[in-house]
Amino acid sequence: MSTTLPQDRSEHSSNVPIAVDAAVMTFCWSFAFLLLHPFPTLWYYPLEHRWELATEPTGLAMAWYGRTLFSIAVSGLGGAITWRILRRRGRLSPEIQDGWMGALVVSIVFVVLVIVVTNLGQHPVPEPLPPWYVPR
Amino acid sequence: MSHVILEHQARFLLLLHAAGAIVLVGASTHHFLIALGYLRGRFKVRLGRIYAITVAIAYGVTFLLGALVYPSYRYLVRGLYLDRHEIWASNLFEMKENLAVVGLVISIAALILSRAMDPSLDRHTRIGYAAFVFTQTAIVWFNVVSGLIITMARSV
Repeated sequence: MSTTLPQDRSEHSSNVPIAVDAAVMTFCWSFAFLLLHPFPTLWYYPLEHRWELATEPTGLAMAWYGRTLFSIAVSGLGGAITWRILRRRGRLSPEIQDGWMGALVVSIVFVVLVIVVTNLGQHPVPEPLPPWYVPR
Repeated sequence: MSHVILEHQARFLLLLHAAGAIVLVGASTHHFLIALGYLRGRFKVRLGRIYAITVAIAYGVTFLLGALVYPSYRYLVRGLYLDRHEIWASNLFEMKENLAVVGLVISIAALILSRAMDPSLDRHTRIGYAAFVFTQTAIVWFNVVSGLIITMARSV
């Protein structure tokens, strides 16, 4: 079954995909940046039950929450700015859309490669075993 | 005594996380087939929208449950065991968690595109949508398989 959008809605949303692509691209680059560069991030300390905005943690801490929140916020901002710029314009030319698509694919491949490379061959330091710990 | 937040609920939350992943992998695979159909000229738009929202909701719920279990895993599983005895599993988990964030953003993007586009008319958006769905499905399958492998090594 094929469904088509109403004409007015179709015109109104002609550049929505460009804004969505921009949001995804902004996410990819900000997430990759945070994986590659020391940058002030929100760290969660699971044993101390507290949060801290810092570049390097002091003790057992998790950057994943802060990195995720930051990148999603930047992504939303990137998409919103693009949407605001393009919403009153007509549909972009096919050449620009092709270029945009290429940039999107490169961004996704880049962030996936950064994730894989930065996590291969890591040598994490284990936590000291507490007195109550019972191996199983 | 609890050392990390939700430590005592961690196994139950992990079970729910796994249940969410089962729904997600099924919905994602169906969504993949619909997007593949778009590229071949078969436009099941209504079904595509249903799968897009099912994937987005299942992904969000599974992601949130995983985020709740994460502190228990980070200390009790990774910190005390995997980092000492199964380093490959620690690294695989970090890869999985970071890819999960990419998949979350892409599933939201696919949801928005599924409602904003007319795939029979818009070739560029159709290709972008398919790229999102294919990437997201690949991430879901990778994460489900790696999650099972890591859990075999050690769990909460």
